Amino acid sequence: MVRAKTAATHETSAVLSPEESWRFLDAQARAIAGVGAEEFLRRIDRGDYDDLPDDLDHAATRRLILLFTGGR
Amino acid sequence: MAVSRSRRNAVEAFRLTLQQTVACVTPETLLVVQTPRNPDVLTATFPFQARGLVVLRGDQGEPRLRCSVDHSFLLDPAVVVHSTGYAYHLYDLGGTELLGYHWHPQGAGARPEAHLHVRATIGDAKLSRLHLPTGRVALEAFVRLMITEFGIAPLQADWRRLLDTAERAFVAARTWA
Repeated sequence: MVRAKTAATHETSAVLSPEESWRFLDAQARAIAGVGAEEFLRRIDRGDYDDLPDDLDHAATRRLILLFTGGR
Repeated sequence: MAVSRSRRNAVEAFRLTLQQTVACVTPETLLVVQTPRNPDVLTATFPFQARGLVVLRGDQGEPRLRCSVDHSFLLDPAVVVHSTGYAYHLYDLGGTELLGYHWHPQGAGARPEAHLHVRATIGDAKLSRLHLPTGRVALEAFVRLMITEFGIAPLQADWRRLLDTAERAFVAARTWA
Protein backbone atom coordinates (compact mmCIF):
# COMPACT_ATOMS: atom_id res chain seq x y z
CA MET A 1 0.00 0.00 0.00
CA VAL A 2 1.30 3.45 -0.76
CA ARG A 3 0.26 6.96 0.03
CA ALA A 4 -3.31 6.15 1.04
CA LYS A 5 -4.71 9.03 3.04
CA THR A 6 -8.01 9.90 4.60
CA ALA A 7 -10.53 9.93 1.80
CA ALA A 8 -11.49 13.27 0.40
CA THR A 9 -15.14 14.13 0.70
CA HIS A 10 -15.58 16.25 -2.39
CA GLU A 11 -15.72 15.39 -6.04
CA THR A 12 -13.40 16.97 -8.54
CA SER A 13 -13.16 17.21 -12.29
CA ALA A 14 -9.45 16.36 -12.06
CA VAL A 15 -10.44 12.69 -11.94
CA LEU A 16 -11.59 12.08 -15.49
CA SER A 17 -14.63 9.99 -16.32
CA PRO A 18 -14.17 7.01 -18.65
CA GLU A 19 -15.39 9.11 -21.58
CA GLU A 20 -13.11 12.02 -20.69
CA SER A 21 -10.23 9.62 -20.20
CA TRP A 22 -10.77 8.14 -23.66
CA ARG A 23 -10.84 11.58 -25.27
CA PHE A 24 -7.67 12.50 -23.39
CA LEU A 25 -5.92 9.32 -24.53
CA ASP A 26 -7.10 9.79 -28.09
CA ALA A 27 -5.66 13.30 -28.21
CA GLN A 28 -2.37 12.14 -26.69
CA ALA A 29 -2.11 9.23 -29.13
CA ARG A 30 -2.73 11.49 -32.10
CA ALA A 31 -0.13 14.00 -30.91
CA ILE A 32 2.57 11.49 -30.02
CA ALA A 33 1.98 8.43 -32.22
CA GLY A 34 -0.02 9.99 -35.05
CA VAL A 35 -2.90 7.54 -34.63
CA GLY A 36 -6.09 7.51 -32.61
CA ALA A 37 -6.63 5.68 -29.35
CA GLU A 38 -8.29 2.66 -31.00
CA GLU A 39 -5.34 2.08 -33.30
CA PHE A 40 -2.77 2.69 -30.59
CA LEU A 41 -4.48 0.15 -28.37
CA ARG A 42 -4.52 -2.34 -31.27
CA ARG A 43 -0.78 -1.82 -31.72
CA ILE A 44 -0.14 -2.50 -28.04
CA ASP A 45 -2.25 -5.66 -28.21
CA ARG A 46 -0.42 -6.77 -31.37
CA GLY A 47 2.92 -6.42 -29.58
CA ASP A 48 4.16 -3.66 -31.86
CA TYR A 49 5.85 -1.94 -28.91
CA ASP A 50 7.24 -5.01 -27.17
CA ASP A 51 10.71 -4.28 -28.54
CA LEU A 52 10.52 -0.52 -28.26
CA PRO A 53 13.85 0.64 -26.79
CA ASP A 54 13.60 1.79 -23.22
CA ASP A 55 15.58 5.02 -23.52
CA LEU A 56 15.07 8.77 -23.54
CA ASP A 57 14.66 8.93 -27.32
CA HIS A 58 11.48 6.86 -27.04
CA ALA A 59 10.24 8.42 -23.81
CA ALA A 60 7.13 9.98 -25.35
CA THR A 61 5.88 6.65 -26.69
CA ARG A 62 6.76 4.93 -23.42
CA ARG A 63 4.75 7.53 -21.51
CA LEU A 64 1.85 6.95 -23.87
CA ILE A 65 1.99 3.20 -23.27
CA LEU A 66 1.95 3.84 -19.52
CA LEU A 67 -1.16 6.01 -19.90
CA PHE A 68 -2.93 3.28 -21.89
CA THR A 69 -1.90 0.34 -19.74
CA GLY A 70 -1.11 1.76 -16.32
CA GLY A 71 2.01 -0.37 -16.44
CA ARG A 72 -0.02 -3.58 -16.43
CA MET B 1 -19.58 2.16 -15.53
CA ALA B 2 -20.77 3.43 -12.18
CA VAL B 3 -18.01 4.21 -9.72
CA SER B 4 -18.76 4.14 -6.02
CA ARG B 5 -18.25 7.25 -3.95
CA SER B 6 -15.68 5.52 -1.74
CA ARG B 7 -13.60 4.54 -4.76
CA ARG B 8 -13.82 8.03 -6.23
CA ASN B 9 -12.77 9.48 -2.91
CA ALA B 10 -9.82 7.12 -2.63
CA VAL B 11 -8.64 8.06 -6.11
CA GLU B 12 -9.03 11.76 -5.38
CA ALA B 13 -7.23 11.41 -2.05
CA PHE B 14 -4.30 9.76 -3.80
CA ARG B 15 -4.33 12.40 -6.50
CA LEU B 16 -4.22 15.10 -3.84
CA THR B 17 -1.11 13.65 -2.21
CA LEU B 18 0.66 13.82 -5.59
CA GLN B 19 -0.80 17.27 -6.30
CA GLN B 20 0.52 18.70 -3.03
CA THR B 21 3.97 17.52 -4.03
CA VAL B 22 4.04 18.90 -7.57
CA ALA B 23 2.48 22.15 -6.30
CA CYS B 24 5.94 22.93 -4.88
CA VAL B 25 7.12 23.66 -8.45
CA THR B 26 4.08 24.12 -10.69
CA PRO B 27 0.53 25.44 -10.45
CA GLU B 28 -0.65 22.86 -12.99
CA THR B 29 -3.33 20.39 -11.95
CA LEU B 30 -2.60 16.68 -12.12
CA LEU B 31 -5.38 14.78 -13.84
CA VAL B 32 -6.26 11.15 -13.22
CA VAL B 33 -6.90 9.19 -16.40
CA GLN B 34 -8.56 5.78 -16.49
CA THR B 35 -6.99 3.06 -18.63
CA PRO B 36 -9.31 1.81 -21.39
CA ARG B 37 -9.38 -1.85 -20.34
CA ASN B 38 -9.48 -1.64 -16.56
CA PRO B 39 -11.29 1.14 -14.68
CA ASP B 40 -9.35 0.29 -11.53
CA VAL B 41 -6.01 1.07 -13.16
CA LEU B 42 -5.38 4.78 -13.49
CA THR B 43 -2.58 7.24 -14.18
CA ALA B 44 -1.98 10.68 -12.74
CA THR B 45 -0.55 12.98 -15.39
CA PHE B 46 -0.52 16.62 -16.42
CA PRO B 47 -3.04 18.05 -18.90
CA PHE B 48 -2.67 17.49 -22.58
CA GLN B 49 -1.20 20.85 -23.57
CA ALA B 50 2.34 20.44 -24.91
CA ARG B 51 2.11 16.67 -24.46
CA GLY B 52 1.80 16.96 -20.72
CA LEU B 53 5.07 18.85 -20.31
CA VAL B 54 4.77 21.69 -17.82
CA VAL B 55 7.09 24.68 -17.67
CA LEU B 56 9.28 25.07 -14.59
CA ARG B 57 10.48 28.54 -13.71
CA GLY B 58 13.58 29.98 -12.07
CA ASP B 59 13.88 32.62 -9.35
CA GLN B 60 13.08 35.50 -11.69
CA GLY B 61 10.08 33.74 -13.15
CA GLU B 62 11.99 32.84 -16.29
CA PRO B 63 11.16 29.52 -17.98
CA ARG B 64 14.01 27.16 -17.21
CA LEU B 65 12.99 23.55 -17.81
CA ARG B 66 9.97 21.36 -18.45
CA CYS B 67 8.87 18.24 -16.65
CA SER B 68 6.33 15.46 -16.98
CA VAL B 69 4.92 13.26 -14.25
CA ASP B 70 3.11 10.01 -14.98
CA HIS B 71 2.25 7.82 -12.02
CA SER B 72 0.10 4.73 -12.54
CA PHE B 73 -1.76 2.95 -9.80
CA LEU B 74 -4.26 0.23 -9.10
CA LEU B 75 -7.23 0.58 -6.80
CA ASP B 76 -7.84 -2.85 -5.29
CA PRO B 77 -11.22 -4.23 -4.15
CA ALA B 78 -10.48 -3.08 -0.60
CA VAL B 79 -10.10 0.47 -1.95
CA VAL B 80 -6.36 0.51 -1.30
CA VAL B 81 -4.02 2.20 -3.77
CA HIS B 82 -1.00 0.31 -5.16
CA SER B 83 1.49 1.98 -7.48
CA THR B 84 2.02 0.07 -10.74
CA GLY B 85 4.52 2.27 -12.55
CA TYR B 86 5.98 5.72 -12.91
CA ALA B 87 7.85 7.92 -15.35
CA TYR B 88 9.22 11.23 -14.14
CA HIS B 89 11.06 13.27 -16.77
CA LEU B 90 12.93 16.55 -17.01
CA TYR B 91 13.26 18.27 -20.39
CA ASP B 92 14.89 21.38 -21.73
CA LEU B 93 12.54 24.10 -22.91
CA GLY B 94 12.58 22.69 -26.42
CA GLY B 95 11.20 19.40 -25.15
CA THR B 96 14.37 17.31 -25.36
CA GLU B 97 14.45 14.73 -22.57
CA LEU B 98 17.33 15.36 -20.17
CA LEU B 99 16.67 12.64 -17.65
CA GLY B 100 13.96 10.19 -16.76
CA TYR B 101 13.23 8.13 -13.67
CA HIS B 102 11.36 4.99 -14.72
CA TRP B 103 9.67 2.05 -13.11
CA HIS B 104 7.58 -0.12 -15.43
CA PRO B 105 7.73 -3.67 -14.13
CA GLN B 106 4.96 -5.15 -16.30
CA GLY B 107 3.59 -4.92 -19.82
CA ALA B 108 5.33 -3.89 -23.04
CA GLY B 109 9.05 -3.39 -22.45
CA ALA B 110 8.76 -4.39 -18.81
CA ARG B 111 11.80 -3.96 -16.61
CA PRO B 112 11.50 -4.93 -12.96
CA GLU B 113 14.15 -2.57 -11.59
CA ALA B 114 13.55 1.13 -11.09
CA HIS B 115 16.13 3.01 -13.12
CA LEU B 116 17.37 6.32 -14.46
CA HIS B 117 18.17 7.46 -17.99
CA VAL B 118 20.37 10.52 -18.47
CA ARG B 119 21.12 12.33 -21.72
CA ALA B 120 24.88 12.23 -21.46
CA THR B 121 27.76 10.17 -22.74
CA ILE B 122 30.74 8.55 -21.07
CA GLY B 123 33.19 7.43 -23.68
CA ASP B 124 31.12 5.45 -26.16
CA ALA B 125 28.30 4.80 -23.70
CA LYS B 126 25.12 6.75 -24.20
CA LEU B 127 23.61 7.00 -20.75
CA SER B 128 20.21 7.79 -22.23
CA ARG B 129 20.09 4.13 -23.33
CA LEU B 130 21.47 2.68 -20.10
CA HIS B 131 19.38 1.72 -17.10
CA LEU B 132 21.12 3.21 -14.10
CA PRO B 133 19.68 1.53 -11.02
CA THR B 134 18.01 3.83 -8.52
CA GLY B 135 15.78 1.90 -6.17
CA ARG B 136 12.32 3.34 -5.89
CA VAL B 137 12.25 7.11 -6.38
CA ALA B 138 9.59 9.09 -4.58
CA LEU B 139 7.89 11.89 -6.47
CA GLU B 140 8.95 14.11 -3.58
CA ALA B 141 12.60 13.33 -4.27
CA PHE B 142 12.14 14.22 -7.93
CA VAL B 143 10.53 17.56 -7.06
CA ARG B 144 13.21 18.29 -4.45
CA LEU B 145 15.84 17.60 -7.11
CA MET B 146 14.29 20.24 -9.36
CA ILE B 147 14.55 22.87 -6.64
CA THR B 148 17.89 22.07 -5.06
CA GLU B 149 19.87 20.99 -8.13
CA PHE B 150 18.23 22.58 -11.16
CA GLY B 151 17.39 26.02 -9.81
CA ILE B 152 13.64 25.75 -10.09
CA ALA B 153 11.92 28.29 -7.87
CA PRO B 154 9.74 26.75 -5.17
CA LEU B 155 6.15 27.94 -5.24
CA GLN B 156 5.50 27.07 -1.60
CA ALA B 157 7.38 28.82 1.20
CA ASP B 158 7.46 25.66 3.30
CA TRP B 159 8.38 23.34 0.44
CA ARG B 160 11.07 21.56 2.47
CA ARG B 161 8.63 20.60 5.19
CA LEU B 162 5.92 19.66 2.69
CA LEU B 163 8.22 17.39 0.71
CA ASP B 164 9.88 15.88 3.77
CA THR B 165 6.54 15.13 5.42
CA ALA B 166 5.05 13.61 2.29
CA GLU B 167 8.13 11.54 1.59
CA ARG B 168 8.23 10.20 5.14
CA ALA B 169 4.60 9.11 4.80
CA PHE B 170 5.38 7.48 1.47
CA VAL B 171 8.42 5.65 2.85
CA ALA B 172 6.44 4.42 5.84
CA ALA B 173 3.66 3.02 3.65
CA ARG B 174 5.55 1.61 0.66
CA THR B 175 5.91 -2.13 0.29
CA TRP B 176 9.20 -2.11 -1.63
CA ALA B 177 12.15 0.19 -1.99
